[in-house]
Amino acid sequence: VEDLSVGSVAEPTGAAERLRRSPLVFAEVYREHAPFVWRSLRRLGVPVADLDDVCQETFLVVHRQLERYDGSSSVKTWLFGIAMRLASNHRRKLSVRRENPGAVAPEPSVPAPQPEVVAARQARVVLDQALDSLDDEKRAVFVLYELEQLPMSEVVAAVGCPLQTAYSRLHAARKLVAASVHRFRSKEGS
Amino acid sequence: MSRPDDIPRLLAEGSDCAQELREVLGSASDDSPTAEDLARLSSGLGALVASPPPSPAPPVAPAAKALASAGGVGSATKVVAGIVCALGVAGGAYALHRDVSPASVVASSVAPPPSVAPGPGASPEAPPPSPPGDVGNVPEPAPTKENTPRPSGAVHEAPRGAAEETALLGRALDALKRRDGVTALALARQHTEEYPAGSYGEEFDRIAIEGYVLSGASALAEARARRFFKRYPASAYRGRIEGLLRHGP
Repeated sequence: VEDLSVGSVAEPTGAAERLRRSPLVFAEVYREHAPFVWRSLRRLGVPVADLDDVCQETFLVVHRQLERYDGSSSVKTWLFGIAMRLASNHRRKLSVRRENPGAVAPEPSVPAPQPEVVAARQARVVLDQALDSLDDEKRAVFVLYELEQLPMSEVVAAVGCPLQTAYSRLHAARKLVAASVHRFRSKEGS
Repeated sequence: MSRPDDIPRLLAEGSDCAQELREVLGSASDDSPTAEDLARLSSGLGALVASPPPSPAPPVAPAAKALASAGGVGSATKVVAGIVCALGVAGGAYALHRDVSPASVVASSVAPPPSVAPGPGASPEAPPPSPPGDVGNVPEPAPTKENTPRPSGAVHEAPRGAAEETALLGRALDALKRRDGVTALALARQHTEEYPAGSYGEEFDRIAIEGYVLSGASALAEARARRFFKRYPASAYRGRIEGLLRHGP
């Protein structure tokens, strides 16, 4: 487990005051945000087979760093920062493992699903590929704004960049994702 | 969710997003974990995520008081309180199933591994690690009065050391991060002795295995891993441990 301290971005100071009055309890943070962390890791490129491990690792880091959370950003954006770094580390490890195919665990076999399930899965694969075409910074903004539908102010807090930069990343990410999806669908149709 | 100054989202009604893109983005709506996923995750995190029972505030450990008084980190008090409550839920059950195996069972089946010196960054607070050359004989903690499983009624004693136990876990993880297997093992041993009914037993058992691997004591690591898998058949650390045993640190 690495040190994954996440810098927080100034937000309404009232949040810090609220935190002082009502500090965080790990079990509550977990209960409230586990699905968000899970989804975020998935959308940040952690394979389904590894979600258990990486999500658990994320919450162990959260547990260790809970005392450092100062309320200057929302809990959600703080968690996303931790998840983003762990997901990035995990993807790096995976790319190393892929260079050594012997170390990659085989995907579990599943029974043949219904056509609509196949279509949904295929769409998800296309989305994975489109997201994989983005760098970490654009991916984080796109995931939070378009998929998680957070306000841009929270996206900015989570990724730690100026508002205009976040919008630039979003626009660039939209173009890349659209192009990637179009490319895939065109190939599929031909 | 959205604020007036946010630009329209691709999935918003009336956006000019192409249908094919809309469909693909919509597929992300299935990304949430199932109840089964969450149950597995909770199980992996064990006592950390047990719901605190509604009870009077337990005594706060000195470390938490110090953190709380430092300002800006008042959360520590409640964090520790949460762990304390969790201990109340899980500690009793844990105390009953965590066994401590005698050293002789493992040590007798192991050839002496290469010696490993303590890492240069060893924590100053850590207990003195075993001397170089002694790694292969790092003994499993012998059964003592302290690490004999306690009856469930004893869990009320646990809250006193919750913050210290968490700190010990942090030091052990730091030792692993430094690849200092000897210190990690010493801290795991300290945990077994001081917190026989602690809430991080699984984590420290895992740390001990990694400590052995880092120290080159692969046979000890394997023996310890076998017991670990028996003790925690559904552990989320299984894949990590198996990978370590197969591929090394």
